[in-house]
Amino acid sequence: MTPTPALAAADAAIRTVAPLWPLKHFVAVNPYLGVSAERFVDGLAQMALLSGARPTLPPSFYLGAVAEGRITEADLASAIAEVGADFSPEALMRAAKGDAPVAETLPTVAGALGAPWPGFMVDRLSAFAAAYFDAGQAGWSAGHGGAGLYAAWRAEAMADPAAEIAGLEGARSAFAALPETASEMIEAANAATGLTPAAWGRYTARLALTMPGWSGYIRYLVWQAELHGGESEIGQEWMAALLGWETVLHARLDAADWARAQAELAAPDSTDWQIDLLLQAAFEASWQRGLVGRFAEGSVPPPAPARAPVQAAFCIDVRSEVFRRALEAVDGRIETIGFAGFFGAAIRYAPLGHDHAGDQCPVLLTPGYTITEVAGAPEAGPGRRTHLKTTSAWGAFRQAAVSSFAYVEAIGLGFGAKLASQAAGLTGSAWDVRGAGLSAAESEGLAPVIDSAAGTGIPPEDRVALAKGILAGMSLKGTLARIVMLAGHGSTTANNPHATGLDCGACGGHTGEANARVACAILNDTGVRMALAAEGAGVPEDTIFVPALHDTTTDAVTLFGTAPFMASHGADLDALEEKLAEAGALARAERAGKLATEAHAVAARAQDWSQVRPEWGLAGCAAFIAAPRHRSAGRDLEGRAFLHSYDWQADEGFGVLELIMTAPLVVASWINLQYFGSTVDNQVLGSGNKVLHNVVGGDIGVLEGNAGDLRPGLPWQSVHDGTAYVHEPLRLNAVIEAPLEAMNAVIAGNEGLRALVDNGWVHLFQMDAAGRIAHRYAGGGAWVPVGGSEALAEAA
Amino acid sequence: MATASLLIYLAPLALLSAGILALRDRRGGPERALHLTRCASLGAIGIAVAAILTVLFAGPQTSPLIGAAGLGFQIQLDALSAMMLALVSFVGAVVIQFSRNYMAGDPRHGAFMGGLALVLGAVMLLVLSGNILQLLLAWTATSLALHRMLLFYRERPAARLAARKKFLVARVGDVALISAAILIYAAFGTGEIAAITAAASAGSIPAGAAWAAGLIALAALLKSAVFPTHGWLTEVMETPTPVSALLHAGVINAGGFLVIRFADLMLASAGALHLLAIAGGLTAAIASLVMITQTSVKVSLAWSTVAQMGFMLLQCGFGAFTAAALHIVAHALYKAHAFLNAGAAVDKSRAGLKLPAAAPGLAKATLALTAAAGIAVTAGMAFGVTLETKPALVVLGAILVMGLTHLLLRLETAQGGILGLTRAVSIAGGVAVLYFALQLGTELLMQPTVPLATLTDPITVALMISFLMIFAGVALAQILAPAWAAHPGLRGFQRSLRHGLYANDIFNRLVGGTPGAARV
Repeated sequence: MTPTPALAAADAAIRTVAPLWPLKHFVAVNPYLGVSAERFVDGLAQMALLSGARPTLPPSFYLGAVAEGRITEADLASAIAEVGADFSPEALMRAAKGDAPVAETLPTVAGALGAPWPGFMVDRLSAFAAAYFDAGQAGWSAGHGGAGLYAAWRAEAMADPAAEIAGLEGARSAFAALPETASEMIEAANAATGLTPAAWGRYTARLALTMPGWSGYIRYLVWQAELHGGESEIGQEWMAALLGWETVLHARLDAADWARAQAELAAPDSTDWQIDLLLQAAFEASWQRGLVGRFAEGSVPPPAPARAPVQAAFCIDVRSEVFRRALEAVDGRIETIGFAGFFGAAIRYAPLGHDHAGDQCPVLLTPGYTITEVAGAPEAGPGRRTHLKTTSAWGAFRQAAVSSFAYVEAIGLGFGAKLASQAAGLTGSAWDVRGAGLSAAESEGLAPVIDSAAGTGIPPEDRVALAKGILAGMSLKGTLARIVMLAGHGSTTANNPHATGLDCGACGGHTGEANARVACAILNDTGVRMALAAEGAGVPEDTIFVPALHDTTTDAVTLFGTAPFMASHGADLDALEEKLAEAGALARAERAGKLATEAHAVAARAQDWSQVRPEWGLAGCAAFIAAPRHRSAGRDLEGRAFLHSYDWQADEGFGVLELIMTAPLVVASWINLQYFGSTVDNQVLGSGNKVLHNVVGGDIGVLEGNAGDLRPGLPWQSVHDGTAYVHEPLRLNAVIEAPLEAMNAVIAGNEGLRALVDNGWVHLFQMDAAGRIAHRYAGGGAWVPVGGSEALAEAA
Repeated sequence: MATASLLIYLAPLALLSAGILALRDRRGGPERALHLTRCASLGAIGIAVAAILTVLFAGPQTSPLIGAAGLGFQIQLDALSAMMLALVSFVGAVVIQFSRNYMAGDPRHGAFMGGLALVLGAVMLLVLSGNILQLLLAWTATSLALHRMLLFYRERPAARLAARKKFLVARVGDVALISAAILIYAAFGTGEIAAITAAASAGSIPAGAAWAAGLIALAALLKSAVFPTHGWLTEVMETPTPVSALLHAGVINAGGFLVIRFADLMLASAGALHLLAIAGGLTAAIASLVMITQTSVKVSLAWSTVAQMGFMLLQCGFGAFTAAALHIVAHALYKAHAFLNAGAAVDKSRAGLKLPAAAPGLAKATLALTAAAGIAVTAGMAFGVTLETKPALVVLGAILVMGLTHLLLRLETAQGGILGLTRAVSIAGGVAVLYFALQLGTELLMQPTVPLATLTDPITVALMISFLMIFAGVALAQILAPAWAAHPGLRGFQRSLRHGLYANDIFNRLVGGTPGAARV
């Protein structure tokens, strides 16, 4: 059944909003995802019109960069030339010193009515959604008894006197008069608003973006349903609830006011952002100049190296760059590798004793295997359940009506000791989510099981293909080292609602430990090794794959499952651990500067419950480099570059290139644009002030303060240190060493990627055979030499 | 020796001067403010320890008066004030330490620290008050200093609305307390609290004193955010977390402290006590149900405070002043931690199991109730608690039984069998023993400062029985409702509770937080 145009537009409206992953596995999302089919400058302007988000920082920021000499006149000129604008750099500077433009947004009914209705409507819908979706905060939840979102909302609105108390007389009967189903509601609203199809599309998108938080959560639910091959009506239901509110408010609006709104929706009068966008482009040109300069000398491949003692693979995450550089500095013979941190193991991971399993792979993928967990003895699982249920019983005693009174009098004094020790830093404050309910020994023994059983594990016949994929993807050919370490990453932070956002995005907002362990288990599997040997693609017999976890807050790297190899590789492993510890110290010393602290104090931030900036996460991310490590080795990329190891000459058919450009590059751009949005307008696209955060629904999201919408994006404290931006808005600069034609072929074959690079959401560069940044992608398959102006090649 | 007790003033003075200096510091960075407030807060802990030692070894004492005509500044140093000083300085030092990193990077970090110190200094002056004039001044100063902190982010409309509500309630409370003070001064001819309570406890209650007790009860109820004047308290998460911690753990106790301080006088007015019991008890029942329907961690904690303060005032109304004192301290420590650690909610949720709500069968519930009663009665008898000697404690014990029943039922689902049973009973037994030990320990410590009352008048007894029935109903609803949440009748009730019975919506409307009447 084809939906009517009104319904189709409402469905499209929810897709204008970027999905918001819940905090239990928070991953970075491009906040401009819904407008990424537009060119960058148009997408930002449209986002401003629909959500009120400023597209760039205010001009004062860029003027500061000009004053500091970071933006030169040449940068301004090149930004102007790129868009062919009619400006001189002086005129641009003059214009920049004028008043900063204000984002004009499209009208809604609530907006046309004016204060307090827009805020009131958001508060009511947000409170309703929190109750409807509550995942564990309320001991006695709303109990909608399986009713759909719209039906449940309408039932509540019909009975809820709050709007009437606030002055909306007759609200309950007005809500009761709304249609009973979501699709009827949408059709009715479409008819009542009297908007042209184009205006209706803008209006519904604007409406969805009046609540980027809950609309984003709904968009996430739709995303999940579609990722797993289903579909979901919930987007439509949510739009119907928003439209229901508007319909009720509409009756209070003067016809003349709505006529004005109709005219505005039909022909939007958008803010002119040209000056701001030119300044942003000049700022990016300035950074690119530095990046190109860093590679100006080029590099030559090192002479065929002796067999490295260790090959250490890390996630492409920018935080790995610092550690890899440190590890190479400690021992120049160690070869480091960058690879998406799930190491090709797209799994669904079921923690021991828990009922839920989480997808541990990039959110664009569906996991192929469900992996369970053991902890040594078989009784550990039931034991953990008993323990966790006891914790839950104790929590119920604490938080229940009446029993909480007795709880406080019997137990409350004990919190004095907790307060004292946590405040003095005597006890760590970070929750051990992974080992909760287990003894220290059991927790130590936690490990994934790859043996296939009923519906879980990885069948032996699949393992060989997986192993080959992992080895090829990492460009791991030639003679492998005796030890190949695969290091996933995760963070340790305390009292931090956004903790999972600091974990591995490629592992779906979890730590990469399980993925690394599964990948290593496959690669160490005897059957796999025999099959590989039989095909001649053998891995040396003495090579072992060792999983590890890089804690990005403390820069400690822990090795797992080494016991079986101690006899054969004991000395090597011990040496490796020592070097990892040394590298950790170096990395902490480097990070201490940015954290404005001493090197020895870096690790303690992980356990400090009062620390709102335990680490800087991916702040500063600005480059993505897919090339052999020797191209970037020895260059200080300041923890701002995603590094993916890639050797195009070894990539027959460019399958790996396609994988890199369509997955890690896209994910990196999502992260980069999340930081971009949270920096340029933290109020709309970020989650605001962390000291006001109030966790909603158990583990869904945060409010800023007492009410309002769920907040998307990153906290202010994650991009700003109080004096300056630690993340400065820069679109991702992707540098790939590969033939132009090969890249063009990949771009031509992938619509999503083409939208990203052709529309300028990512700057794409080619690195040449000398290791210099040689060409810039100009869209439509055209490349221009860096520093030059005329199109070089029109390969298609 | 009594003169030496004036040295205790150093604690509030240190914080007040650190606060003023921090607020006046114009040098940009917060370093000086951080340094001053840390030193002052740690110094105050030292003085609090000295105060406790003084009371333990030299006994309670009243300092000389700095003032005239029986009015002025004076310290009453006894078990109650020493304990409160220790509590406030400890929570204060924790909150100040916490705010060093937590507020880092805020352009007004220094002013924040200064503001915290002012609140702490004012609360310390309040709890040390040996004279009604100091009490009044500190009472109002606390409220004004807190008002500043509620408006730390003045640009937030919701913060302004909450602060406005708080301001209104507080001023009504101030009027009540000022009127009470005038009546007291007129009746007793002095402002010295020790003299007033001594006279009251000796049974010489002048005319007007009963009215004063009623006004004190009213001031305490308003200060404690009793339902339906609680609206400001459940919205203060519009200000940074440390302020919530300090407010819920420190400032909110002022009402309870006031009642306990004047306990001897309160006992002279049965009406005042009944008012406390009724308003406090109903608040406890309503707010604790509202609490379990909340969907955000901080709002849930705020409702929990409303409920706990109501319960504490109910204890006062039943004459169980020492139990109320214990409740104040224990709740303050618990709630300070809960607020400061509220960001861990997601990790807690991730680490825990999500168990479906299930109502226990009648047989199981009866068994759990019987076991809980057995445990509590055994523990109570072991501590010599009987209906004749301590009727209020028996009533509180009955409420403990309700809590233990809930605990046992939940523990039973964690682990069955003999092993599980043994574990459940020992956990519940441990709780019961701790409960009675702490209650009786507090009674001992608080002697003779806080009177032990045995109220057996018919109205109090009727109130005790009524509230036991109400709490039993609430406990039953708590156990059954989650499993029956989808029932249409319960759904409407749940919605009303989730919205705090709409009291705050009405309050908002009254203070102009939402627009005037309009038509649809």
